[in-house]
Amino acid sequence: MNTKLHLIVERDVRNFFKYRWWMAGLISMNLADLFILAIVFSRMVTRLEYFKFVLPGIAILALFASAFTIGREVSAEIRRMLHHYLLSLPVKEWEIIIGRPLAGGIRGLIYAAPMLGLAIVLSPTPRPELLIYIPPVLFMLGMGISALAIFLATVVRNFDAYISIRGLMYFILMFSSTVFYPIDVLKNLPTPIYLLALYNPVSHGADLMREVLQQGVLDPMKIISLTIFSTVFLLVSSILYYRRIRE
Amino acid sequence: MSINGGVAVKLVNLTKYYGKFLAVDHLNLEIYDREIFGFLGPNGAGKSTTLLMITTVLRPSEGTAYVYGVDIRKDPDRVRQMVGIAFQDPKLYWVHTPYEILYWHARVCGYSSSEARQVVKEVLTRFDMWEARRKRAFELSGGMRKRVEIAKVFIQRPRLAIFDEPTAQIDVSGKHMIWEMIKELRDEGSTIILATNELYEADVLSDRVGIIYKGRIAALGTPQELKDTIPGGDVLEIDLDRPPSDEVVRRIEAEPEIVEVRRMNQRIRMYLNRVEEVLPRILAMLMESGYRVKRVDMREPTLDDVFLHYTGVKLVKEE
Repeated sequence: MNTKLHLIVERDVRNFFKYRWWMAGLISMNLADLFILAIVFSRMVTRLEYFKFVLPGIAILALFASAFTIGREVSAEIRRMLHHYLLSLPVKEWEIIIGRPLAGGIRGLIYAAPMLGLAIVLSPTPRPELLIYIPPVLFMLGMGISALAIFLATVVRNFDAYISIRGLMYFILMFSSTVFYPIDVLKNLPTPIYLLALYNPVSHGADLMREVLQQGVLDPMKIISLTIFSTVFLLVSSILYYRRIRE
Repeated sequence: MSINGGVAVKLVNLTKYYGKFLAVDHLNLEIYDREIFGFLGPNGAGKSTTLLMITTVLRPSEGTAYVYGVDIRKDPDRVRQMVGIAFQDPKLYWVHTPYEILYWHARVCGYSSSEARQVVKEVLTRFDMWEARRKRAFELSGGMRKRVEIAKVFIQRPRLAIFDEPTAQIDVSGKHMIWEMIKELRDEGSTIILATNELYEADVLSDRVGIIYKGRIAALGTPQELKDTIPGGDVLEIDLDRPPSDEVVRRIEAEPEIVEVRRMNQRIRMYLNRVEEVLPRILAMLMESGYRVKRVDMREPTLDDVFLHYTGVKLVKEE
């Protein structure tokens, strides 16, 4: 099949490495916050090796931050009408539409890989055969997060507003999740935050990894939940992105 | 009349609304295979919108266009296989280098990796950009960015090449280089659409010119045909050794191409068409009548005069 989808994906993945230091800075800021919290948190969570707990969360944090950046690029492209260039190329429209979240999934996987590797080394799973499920699940979650970012980039037309909403979304999805704290601790927070953390796909991604690494358990419900999240946002963002660039 | 027989692009009632604003108003036009078609008009006349519809970037509100017989509405994927465009504003990712931009473009246009490396080197060298190949787009001057944008088309070498104000921001030597390259592309078999508001560029490059104003074609023809359509557009002044007689003036006025004759002492000023054909006859008649010609000055109308004639406004002023 004469498809150029791989070139669309390759371009976005290469773009990501243009911003690698910006990404590293972003994650470093999160980690700095995290270490301050960890000092407080270590007194609250006894009998828990917090570092082992948080490593899968950091892998998800890296996945989220890197997959989410594609929205910023899509928004800037639309604002500067760079999408006209893409639409003039001898490629099919669906290749452009699908290529973006696919690249986001790959970006997420690449950036999460070192943390994931470290987590695997520090928490040897009792069932190593389950490790094979982690990359595809993370890839799917990365695609879903990219799709969410593209969705935001297409519906929020003002760039400044987009930047604010993106920051808010980042804050809500990262901090109302089990990335940094177990769900038991979040029960003590206001109910909306607890409920958000309970159904947050980021929580499901982090918990799924922890369960595989620390307990040797793969929860199919979490995989189903992540599949639904990614599928819904892929569909919705594809339609909206197509409409936006075809205006 | 077609230059090489075939029609490359056919616009049929092509129309574009932006909200209630009518940007392109039911355009009907044929662009012939292997010609350079100059699309001349001021900013906001509808040139770029028309080109974006032909390249399938924008969807027409009404009507359609055919590129080598393929309907832009029904089969846009096939149309894009045949069309390449250099946009008015360079569409470059600011953190990318010229090499990266063109290499990726080459790959998308079907070159293998090794072919892409080869063709990018050739084109960047031709555009005098090889030394700057590793600079990022935001570090390039406006003219250099424009060169990278145009270079995309020369990498693609499409059947239909579209240049939207290709030499804006380019220095004089760069302009001449790009004009030569556009002519070469046409000679190799591409059809060229050249949108411009530079009169000289349209005049020297175009086989035919379409003047677009307020979304409609106001005039269409070769640059010479368009100039010849202006009644008395050519101006001819002849200084004689003595004031011309009434008889001489009457004989000049009898020439079919003469629109008006003014006598100014020893000078005769004539407003006419086809000055290049009439001048030898007038000179012969003057010398036959015993006059000595001391000076001859002739001026053809410019495309700006043509634009003024057909639209009532001057293109240069509107820029």
